[in-house]
Parts: sequence; structure tokens; C-alpha cells
Amino acid sequence: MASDDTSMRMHSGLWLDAVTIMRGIRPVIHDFSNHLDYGQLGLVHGGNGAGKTTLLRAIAGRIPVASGIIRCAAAAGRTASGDAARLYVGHQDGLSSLMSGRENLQSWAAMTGYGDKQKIEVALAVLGCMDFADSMVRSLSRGQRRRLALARLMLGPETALWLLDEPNVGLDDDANDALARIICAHIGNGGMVLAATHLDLVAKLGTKRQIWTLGQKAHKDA
Amino acid sequence: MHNFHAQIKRDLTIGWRNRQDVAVMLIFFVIIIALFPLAFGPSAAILEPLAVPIIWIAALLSILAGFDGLFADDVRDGWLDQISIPVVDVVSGEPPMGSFYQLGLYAVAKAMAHWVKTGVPLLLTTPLMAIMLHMPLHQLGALMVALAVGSCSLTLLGIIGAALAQGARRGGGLMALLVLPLAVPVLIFGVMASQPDMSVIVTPHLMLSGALAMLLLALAPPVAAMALSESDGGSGS
Amino acid sequence: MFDFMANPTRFMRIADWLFRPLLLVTAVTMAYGLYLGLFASPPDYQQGETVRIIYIHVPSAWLALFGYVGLGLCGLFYIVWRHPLADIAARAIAPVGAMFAFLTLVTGALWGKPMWGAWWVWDARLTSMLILFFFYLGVIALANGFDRPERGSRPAALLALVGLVNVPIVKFSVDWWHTLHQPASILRRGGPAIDASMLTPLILMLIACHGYFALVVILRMRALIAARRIANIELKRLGNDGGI
Repeated sequence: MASDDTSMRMHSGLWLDAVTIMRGIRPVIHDFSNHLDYGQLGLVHGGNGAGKTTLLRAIAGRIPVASGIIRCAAAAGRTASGDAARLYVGHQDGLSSLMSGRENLQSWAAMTGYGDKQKIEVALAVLGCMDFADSMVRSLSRGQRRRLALARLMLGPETALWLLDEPNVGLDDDANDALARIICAHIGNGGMVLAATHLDLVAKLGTKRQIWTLGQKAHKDA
Repeated sequence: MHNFHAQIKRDLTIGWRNRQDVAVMLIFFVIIIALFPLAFGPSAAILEPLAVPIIWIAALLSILAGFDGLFADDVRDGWLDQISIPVVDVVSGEPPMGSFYQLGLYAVAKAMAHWVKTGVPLLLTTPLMAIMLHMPLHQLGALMVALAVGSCSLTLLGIIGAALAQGARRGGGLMALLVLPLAVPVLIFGVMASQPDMSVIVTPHLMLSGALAMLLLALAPPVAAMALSESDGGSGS
Repeated sequence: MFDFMANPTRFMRIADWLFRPLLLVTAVTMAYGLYLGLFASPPDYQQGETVRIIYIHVPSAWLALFGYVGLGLCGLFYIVWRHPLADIAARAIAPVGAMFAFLTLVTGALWGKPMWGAWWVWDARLTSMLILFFFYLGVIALANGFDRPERGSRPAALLALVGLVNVPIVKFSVDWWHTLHQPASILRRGGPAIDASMLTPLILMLIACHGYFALVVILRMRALIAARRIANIELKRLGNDGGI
């Protein structure tokens, strides 16, 4: 594998090098290369079945890569061999329905070591969850659960890579604004965000962004 | 190992909120045992030699029945995704362990929480069952110790079965089919360890039981981690 | 991953080349072995004609075990190297091994009736074979138990590996169990002593059954590879598989 010279290039950020991902016997992503640096926002576009969810899950490490390399290197200035933290919000919310929102976040924070009591309260406040943070998740609406799932993002490190799959499904206008704000803040602090979304988040965000297009033999777009 | 404790705490919390499941399992245990006198007749002469095997079979079936969809909730909620993403230590930037080890620890934590929810109540109910089946009570000590070890083995086997059958169509029945052949040694050594010739509790049979539990403890985490490591979570779009 | 296209083709070429000679060897050894076993060899002084069933019973038992080990190795290859041919081989072997296990049980029962007076005895070896049969069924059920067929390959391979470790333990525990619950039996432990005149047909039948096993596995693998190719073409024709 071409690890020597490419590792020289991969000194920071998210790198995808000739990545092919199979689903069963069919290549869903074929020979895809791209790069996302710290402080950048990437939007993944593509029709139904183009492989957006597959790509995000592969970067999160849930799906193995058939060939090629995905590397998520730590920010320059940190340990050379370190990986960047990855936070993933997929189609499911990652919440247990028998615990409250606050308990879910506390449990996640204890599991991963990211975040503490204070950060949890701040996250809940920013995403507008304070009213229902102590109710059992099974009694909450879709949008409320989504807010809790997104609140998790704020617990992670500043230089984390956020992988968002359709983050704004079920969100009302306030929540959409909050989401846009935290994404901008995260990028401003030097983090990375890669989001797959049908809806146009761009209008809400004034930031520069890359567009990754899936579905055909896609290469780096600017 | 904070994530290990966190997972156990999480499972016990959820288990407590679902505590009627423990009651269901115990009722199942008692009903199975009650079926035997109904089938064989109430005579103590018939029941007494059968008491230990009956309790063992009932325990085996009750424990394994509780594994149906053990991981299903976590997969459906997306929790499995969350815990299998490699965590990076915030201070040093180094990942303390990879996704595989994280999943392995998750499996062991699940096993431990499940044993507390299932095995312990079962053990506590056993003396009562022994009385119902006219078992000579001096054997109770050996039975309890053997069941304690055997229930650990069965719990670990259940973890393996549940992980392998996760996502299959007829999950529960399929899991039983997979696990029961492998549960045969647990049953054989367990029953023998429960009926020592002399009033000694630690017998070679018990030691074999213990060895089996150790082997399963070594086998279950990697198998469960491998079985759970790749999955689809919801549809793509 | 696109080796998948190359390797099965190479395998199939080797298999095709092997097929005729293998068929010939199997047919000859089976014919000669059966002739010697059923007609030309002497009946056992204790058991009479019924002993002739060992010419099928013993090779069946051997091949059931052989298939189980093969299944475990395929599982290992699939887990470690993700080789798709390993998955196909495992799916080809499993039912054949299961069939031999079943044959062992049936011939064991048929042998048991005149010998012990009962259609079934909980003999240590038969009991172990019964559990091995259940284990085969479990692997087959798991491999085919998912909505998306390829999803079952990995769990089945893992189960085969777990079995590789655990089934010997099952055998050990069943032997232990049997010696402690020794039933009254007229059968000498170890079965009849093998005389030279019985050895030849036995070895011939062993070879023949191995050949039969290989032939059927090759045929099944061909069919499975062809089925996968067809499925592949279908998917390509549909273009987009519409999300999963």
C-alpha cells in the first residue's frame, strides 16, 4: 500500500485516498479521494443510494474499507501519531429511550471521557433542551431527540471531526439556527465538520465550504 | 477503564427501569420446575433424584431465554455506533484502545450486568426450588456454588449467541439453536459438580466447570466484538 | 477485493481439471470397496452380517469430523483474510458435512438395533455426533438467517471458529458423562477388532467417501459462484440498488 509518501502528505486533517467501499458485492463508493483540513466544513451531496451514509460510517470506523486509506490525523502541534477525535451523529440518535436526556449525555460522557457536568449543562442550554432534559427519552418528539443527539457534539474536543448524517431532520427553525451556530463555532475553533444533508445548510452558514459529490466517479471539488 | 464501569452502570439503570423483565424470567424458572412434578407425579421418591438436574435445566432455559435481542436495543438506538467509534484521549491525543477492544469491553460489561440482573435472582430463588423438589438440603451448598459458576458460563455463551444472531430474522430461536449444543458441557459438568459423592464442595467437576467459564470469558469478548463490529445502522439516502 | 473475479475463476479451472479423474477414482474405489465390504469380506464372528454397516458408518463419521474441521478452517480464512472463496467453500461444505453426520447417526441406529436391541442408545460417540449434527444445523441456519444473504457469512464463520474450539470440549464432556453413567452394554468398547480382510474395504470406502465429499463440494461451489455472478449482473443491470 502507498503508505510512505502519502503519510508525508497526511500531516493533518481528514484524508481519503482512493477509497473503495463495498456493500455486499457491490462497490458503493469507488476510488474516492478527498481532503478536509482543520477549520473547514465539508458537505456531502448525492442522490438516494449514492453512499453518503456509507461514507460517513466508514470514516467513523463502522464499515471497513475495501481498498484505499482513510486517515484522520490529529491537528498539527499535537502528538504526531495521534488521531483526531471523531463524533458521529447518524440517522439514529444514540439515545436510550429508558433514560432521560441528561442521563444519556452523562452516560456517554462517562463512556468516552469527553465532556463533564458543566459542558453537559452548557450543551443542553445551547440546543434548547433544558425544558425536557429530565424527561425519559421515549416520551420525547423526534425533534427533541435530535436536539439531544446534537448536544453530544458540544462535549467533544475542540479539534474533533464531526460526522453528521442528515443532522437537521425533524428540527424546527430555532433548532436549525442553533445547529448552524454550533457548526460555525466549531469550525471557528479549528474543528472539522463533514455533513451529509439534502437541505441547504449553506444559506444559514456564512462560511466557506467544500462540496463532496457522490454518485459518479467523483473527485475533489472546491 | 471508566467506560467499563459506565456501561455496567448504564445497563443496570436501564435494567432497573425494566425490572419487570427479571420477574418474568423468575416466573419462567419456577413454572418450568413446576412442570416436572406435574408430569412425573408428586412422589418424593421420584422427584428427589431428579431435583438437581431439573433445577439445572430450568436455569439453563431461563438464562438463555433472557438473551433474546440483548444487543438489539443498543443497535437500534445507535448506541453501538457510539461506543465502537475509537475514543481519543483528550489530553494526550492518543487513542487509549481501538474500536475492537472497546467492543470487547462492552460485551464483558453487558455480560456482567446481565448476570447481576438474571443470575443473581435465579441463585436466590434456588433454595426455594430445592425445597419444592424434595432435594436433600445438605446438597444445597454444592448446588449453589455450581450454579453460580455455571450461570456465568451460560451468560457468556448467551453473549456469544446474541452477538452472532444479532439482526437475524428469527433471532431468539436461532440463538437458542446456536448456543444449546455448546451449553452441553456446562450442563454436564454443572450437574456433576452439584452432586458430589462426599460433602466436599470443591470437586474436580467444579474445577472443570470453572475452567470452562474461564475459557468462555476469554472467548466471548473477541467473538462478540468481531460479530458486532460491522453493521448497517439505518438506511442510506 | 476485485481479486474475487480472478480467484474463483482460477479455482474453477483447477476444479474442472480435477473433476473427471476424481469422479473415476471415487467410482472405482466405491464399487470395489462396496463389493468387498458387502460380499467378499467375512462376517464378524460375534455380530454376523450386520457388521458390514461399518463400511458406511465409519467413513461417514470420519467425514463428518473432517467437514467440521474444514468448516472451521474456512471460517478462520474468512475472518482473518476476508477471502470470499472461503465463504463459498464454507457454505458448500456445511450441508455435506451435516449429511454425513446424519448418515452416521442413521447407520449407527441401524447397527444398534440388532446389536443392543434398541433403535437408539446414548453411546458416547453417537451422542457427540448428534451434538455435532446440531452444530452443523446451527451454522447453516445462521448463514441463511439474515435478510441480506451476505450478512450471514461473517457470523457463520465466527460460529464455525467457536465450534472448532468448543466441540472438542463437548466431546470430552460427553465421554466423561458416559463413563460415569456406564449403562449395561454387551458392546465391547472400541467396537469389533479390525481384521486385515476388513481393513481393505474400509480404507477403500474411506477414500471413496473422501472423493464423494470433494465432488459434491466442488459441484456446490460451482453453483454458488455462478449464483453470485448472476446476482452481481442483476445488480449492475439495475444500476442503483436503491439504498440499503
